[in-house]
Amino acid sequence: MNTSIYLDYAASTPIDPRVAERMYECLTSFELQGNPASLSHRYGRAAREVIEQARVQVANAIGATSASIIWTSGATESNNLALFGAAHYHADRGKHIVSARTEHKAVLEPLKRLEKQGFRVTYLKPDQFGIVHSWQVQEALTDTTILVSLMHVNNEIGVIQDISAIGQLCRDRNVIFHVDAAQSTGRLPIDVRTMKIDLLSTTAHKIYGPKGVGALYVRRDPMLGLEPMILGGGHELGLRAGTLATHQIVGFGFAMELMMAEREVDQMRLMTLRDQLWRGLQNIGDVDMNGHATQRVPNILNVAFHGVEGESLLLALQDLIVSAGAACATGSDEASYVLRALGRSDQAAQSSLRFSLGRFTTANDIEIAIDSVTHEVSRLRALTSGLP
Amino acid sequence: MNVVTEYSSSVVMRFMNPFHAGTLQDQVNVISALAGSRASGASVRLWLQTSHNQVKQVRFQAYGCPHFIAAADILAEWCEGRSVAELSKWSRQAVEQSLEIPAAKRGRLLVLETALNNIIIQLHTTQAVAG
Repeated sequence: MNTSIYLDYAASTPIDPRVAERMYECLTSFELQGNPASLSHRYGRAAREVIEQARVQVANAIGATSASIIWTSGATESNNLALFGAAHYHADRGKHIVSARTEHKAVLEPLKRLEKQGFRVTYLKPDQFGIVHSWQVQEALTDTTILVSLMHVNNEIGVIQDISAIGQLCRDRNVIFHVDAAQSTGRLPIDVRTMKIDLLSTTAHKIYGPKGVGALYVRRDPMLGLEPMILGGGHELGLRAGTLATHQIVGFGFAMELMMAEREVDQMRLMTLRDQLWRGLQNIGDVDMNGHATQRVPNILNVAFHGVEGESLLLALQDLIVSAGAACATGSDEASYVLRALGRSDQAAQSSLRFSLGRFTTANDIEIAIDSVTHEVSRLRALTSGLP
Repeated sequence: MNVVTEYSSSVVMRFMNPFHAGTLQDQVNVISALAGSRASGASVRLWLQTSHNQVKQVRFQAYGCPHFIAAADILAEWCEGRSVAELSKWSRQAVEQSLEIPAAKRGRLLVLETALNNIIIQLHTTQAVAG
């Protein structure tokens, strides 16, 4: 019997059974097994039709036209295509990029590669709550800046950046604006037109869809030039070659539709559960919330348990599936770079846990989690009492 | 992620139920020694009670990763019942092997060794004064 409590939805959401059923129907329908690029016969056209329907479902979630959605293998590929694609295509205009220290590795690693290729990157330092302010972006922009890349919601601490203000700033300066929205699509209202977003990365497995499929929004009006990374049969308007995975895309589209239909109820429920969790954890004493108290999503709570070694806490809570601030799984002592960027000490960062809630989390799960954390933090603190 | 698979069963067992965790603060014939620091990721205080040159009881307090806490428990267990003269024979390498401690974590066992050495020095000093 599995007695574990899953509170790691920000890492990946379990697939919604309704989505799995839709994907199963797609996988077992012989008529949908054609290559969606084979428009000369009805099997290909049938597959294409369900893919285009999914494209509309994803586009609707961000206020885009379906023609501006490019299918990818996930947010990491979307980020890579956005960053390399935009930087290489627009390099003649300049070689300066602005981003932040707290971005996901799927943005930071491509940026590192671009630096080796001669681009200059300014990494903004967020404030102590994790917020990157629009004035910081404004100060960083130069005549050679071609691209700003910032995430909408931070995956570790859940803070929400003011994308609209930064988008307007970029549009006024004719700078391309890329947003990694892996944690926010379907959860927060997004309108790429009013928020002045040129490129937006998203993925299915954070919204109860399948792993292995994502999308990149690419502004079409006016058309934004991008250099493709994967070449082949000219799929996806020449920006991403490769036969499309019909069932994955269908699952992604339906998962997004469900997110949009149930968003308000889901978010209210998650906020209640998260507050219940935070109240319970606060009773332990000597704990701090990492991130911003109000400017954050309802499903993520990052807490520092002072005086407790992070790796030990994670093992002690082995029936609680959460993420740690410490990269302990590999034996590394490196504390979370996101928490350190907020000015947290290595120790505070290492003793932090991220709890991320989702559609299948119950109030009973939260009560069990509170009891379990209370017991183990107390036990570990007793073990360390009075030590320097 | 289930981190249990990252640790040997001995580490998990001792970490979850460290039999020798605690203090001997209010007992007689007890000496204690501190080593390491939280800032460096591992800190320990050993409490050792002797009687007629024999180690009667050992307890520890520790801040550190599961490997470190499990190793502290093994050290405490190993010391109990031995003569004071035998304490210098403790083998850090034997503990590394029995707990299957990964190379990246082995340095922390030096903190335990330092604490034990401090205990041994104190015991010898006490004996010299008494003699």
